[in-house]
Amino acid sequence: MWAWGVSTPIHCGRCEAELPPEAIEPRDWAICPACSSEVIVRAFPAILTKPEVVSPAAIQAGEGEAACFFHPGKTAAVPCSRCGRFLCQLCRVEFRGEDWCPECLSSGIKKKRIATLENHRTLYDSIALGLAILPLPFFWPLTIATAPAALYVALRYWKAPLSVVRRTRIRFVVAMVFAVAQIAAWTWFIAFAVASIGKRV
Amino acid sequence: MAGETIKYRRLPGAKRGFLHRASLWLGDDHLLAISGWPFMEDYRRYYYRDIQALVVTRARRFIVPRHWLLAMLAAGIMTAVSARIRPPAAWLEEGCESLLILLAMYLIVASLWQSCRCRIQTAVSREELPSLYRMWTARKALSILERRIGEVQGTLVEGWTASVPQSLAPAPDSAPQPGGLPAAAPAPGASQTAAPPRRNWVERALYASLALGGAALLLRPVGALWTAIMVVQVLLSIGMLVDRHLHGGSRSAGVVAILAMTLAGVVAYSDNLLSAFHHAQAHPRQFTMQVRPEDLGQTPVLNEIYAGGCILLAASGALAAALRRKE
Repeated sequence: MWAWGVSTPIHCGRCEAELPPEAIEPRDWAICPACSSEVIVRAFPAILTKPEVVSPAAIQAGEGEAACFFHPGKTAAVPCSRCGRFLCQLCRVEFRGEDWCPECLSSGIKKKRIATLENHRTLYDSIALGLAILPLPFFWPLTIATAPAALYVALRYWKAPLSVVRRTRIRFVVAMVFAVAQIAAWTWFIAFAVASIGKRV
Repeated sequence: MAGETIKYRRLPGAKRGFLHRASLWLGDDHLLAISGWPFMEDYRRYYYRDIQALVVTRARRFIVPRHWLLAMLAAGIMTAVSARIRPPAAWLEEGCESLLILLAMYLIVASLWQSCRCRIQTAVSREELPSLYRMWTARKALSILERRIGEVQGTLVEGWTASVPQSLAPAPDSAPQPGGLPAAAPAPGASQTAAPPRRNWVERALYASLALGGAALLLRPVGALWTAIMVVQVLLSIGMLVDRHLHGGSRSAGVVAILAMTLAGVVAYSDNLLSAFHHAQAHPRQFTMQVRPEDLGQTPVLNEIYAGGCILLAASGALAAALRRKE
C-alpha cells in the first residue's frame, strides 16, 4: 500500500517520480512536481483493488476434504475447466473467465492452441513478398535465387498462421505472381542465351 | 480451441519506422499491442479489467514515420529531376523544394511541441506504448480506450483521490517497492537541489547574429551578405533547436529559433519570386526563376522587413532571457 492509498503508484512517464493525487485527479494537463513535465493521467478502478492474499493455514486440507491434484496437502477449491482435476488456490489459474490447471495452460501454449497466449509470430507472407520484390529495385540479378526462394516460402507456409490481426493471404498471392514472372523471365533469358550461343557455334 | 479467431479493431496511432513498427488493437476483452520488425511480430495483451492507469507525458521525440520519409524522398527526387529537365521546370523545382522545407519544418515542430510518451500500467507492469507518440493521436486513442475500459471496470467518481484511505506511514524514497517495480529515479533534467543556470552560448550567438545581421542589412544591403547572414541564422536556429531537444531549455529561445527560420524562409522565397518577376518583365522571352546569390537582397522593402524582423527577434529573445534570469 502506498503513501496515499492506491495499490500501485502512478509514475511520471519522463522522470519516473511518483505522481501525487493532485496530478492524477485532473481531467486535463497536470504538472509533475519532480520534473515539471505536463502529464495526463487516466486512472481506473483497478488501481484501488488490493491484491488477494491467501494464508497457508487457510488452504491446508482437513480430514475427508477433497485435496488438490498437484498438492495433496492442500484443500481443493475448484476443478479445472479443461481436464476436471481438483485445484487448490495456488494452482488455480483464472483464464478467460474459467479456472485452468497449469498443465492444461502450458500444453495449450506449447501446441499453439490458445491464440490469446501467443506472444510471437513469424510473418511468412511478408518474408515471401520481401524475397519476391525487394531485390528488384536494389540488385535485380539476385532474383535468380530469390524468386524460387519466394515461391518455396509461399507454398511451404501457405497454411501457417498469419499475423494475429491480418487475415488475408494476398501477400502470398502477390509474392507467387512476382516469383513466377521472374522465374519465367529468367527461363526465357537463359533459353535465349543458350540458343544464341548454339547458333554461333 | 484451434483456429479460434478474435476480431480486432485498430486504434489510432501507429509507429511505422523504416524497420521497427508498433500498433495498438482493440479486442473484445483486451488491448493488443503489436511491435516488431518487417518479418516478425511480438504481442502483448492488456486485459481491460487489469488496466490501472494510462499516463501521457509531453516529451520531445524526433520520430520520422516511414510515409513522411518516403514523401521527403519523393520531393527530393522530384527536385533533382525537375532541375535536369530542359527547359528547366523552375516552378516544379521551387514547389518541390518548398514541400521539402515544409515537411522538414513540420517534423521539427511536431517533434518538439506535439510529441509525447504514453504508458500503460497494470498491477504487475508499467510499459510504454510506442505507437502513441504524437499528442493528437494519443488523445484520440485515450478517449476510445477510456470508454472501453470504463465499460468493463466502471469509472472513478470525481474527487476519488480524496476518499482513498491514507496509509499511516509515508513511503520512504529508497524503500523497495512492491510488485517488483523499480524505485523512482530522479529526473534526468530535473534537479532536486537548485542547480546554477546553464549558460546557453548557442542562444546568445543566435540573438547576437540576429541583431548584428539586422544592423548590417540596414547599413549595407548586398546580396552576398544577405545570403551569409541567412545561412548563419538558419544554422544557429537549428543548433538552438537541437540543443533545446537534447538539454531542455527555455521555450522562448525555441520559439525565436523557429521564427528566425520562418522569417528567413519566407523572405528568401518572396525575394526569389520578385526577382523572377522583375527578370520576366525585363526579358519576356527568357523566363527563368533561377536566381544567383548576388541577385538576392535587391528589393528594398524586403530587405527592410528582413532587417527589422531580425532586430525585433533579437530584442524579444534577449528580453525573454533577461526576464527568465530575473525569475
